Amino acid sequence: MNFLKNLIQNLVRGPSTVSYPFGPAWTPDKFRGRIEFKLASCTGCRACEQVCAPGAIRFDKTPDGLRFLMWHNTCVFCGLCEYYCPTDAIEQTTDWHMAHAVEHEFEMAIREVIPYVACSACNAKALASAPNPVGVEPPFSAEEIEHQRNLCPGCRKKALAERGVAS
Amino acid sequence: MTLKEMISAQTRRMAALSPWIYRINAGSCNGCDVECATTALIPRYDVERLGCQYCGSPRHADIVLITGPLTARVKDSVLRVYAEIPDPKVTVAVGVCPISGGIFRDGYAVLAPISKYIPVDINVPGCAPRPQAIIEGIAQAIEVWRERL
Repeated sequence: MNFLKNLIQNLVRGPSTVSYPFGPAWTPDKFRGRIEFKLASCTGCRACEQVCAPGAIRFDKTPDGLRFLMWHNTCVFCGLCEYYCPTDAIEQTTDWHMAHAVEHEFEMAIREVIPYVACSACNAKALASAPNPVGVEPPFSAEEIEHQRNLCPGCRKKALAERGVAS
Repeated sequence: MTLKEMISAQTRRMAALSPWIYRINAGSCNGCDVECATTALIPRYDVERLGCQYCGSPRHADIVLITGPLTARVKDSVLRVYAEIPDPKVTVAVGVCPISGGIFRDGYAVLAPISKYIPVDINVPGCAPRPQAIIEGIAQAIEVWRERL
């Protein structure tokens, strides 16, 4: 008589088909989808380029600065870049609406440039990347990050040593 | 209007409502194939709501789903099967492999991107794309299909 229970359940429950594309589709909270890049947090350490198995992430030196290039059409959404990023500059969103016409193929890329600036202490050409926070105790404050951003690597080291941190 | 034109217009109207899907595996790892099968066979995703049906013969197909990075070994067969599909046809590249090669990019046995050999219309990136994303790609392909008819 078990089948009667199933029969009535099926009659009451309605269809199990997801209404997408005519309605919303459920997405898991930890779905690994489209990549989001925050230029302000990037230290330019290139760890993401190192761990990216399909080579979707690339850093290029341009006259303006260090260019971050990421193409979603090569990305396999493994999440290693997010895992290894020391400053959470790369985040994976749950957005999976990525089907596109082939004309828009190269609009699926992220292109951002970390610009060169003149060091505020010694006036040398330096990359305006965020300072590397690994092993820094106490952690950087927001003003310190902005101060470090405008320093060249040598002056950053000096400033960290004066702060009492081995780097 | 002659009888021939009337029949032609009527078949066009009917074909726009039900494009048939054909699936080509160009050396895929089977991940995308499983997701394509899921979109058709599992009631939860049911691509037949859009009027689509998977067909067994390339000569009946209107929309082609291509998975896989086009390996050197399978290239001739894929091109032969693709040539058998009657025009107009809409090509959907499912997964990152046919679009750019994905994880197999620049491999010696892989001829990706597939757009060097076959004109692709819609890309569905993902490794593998989830069934809803494939349905989204098919929905876009149906729009292209209606324009081409």
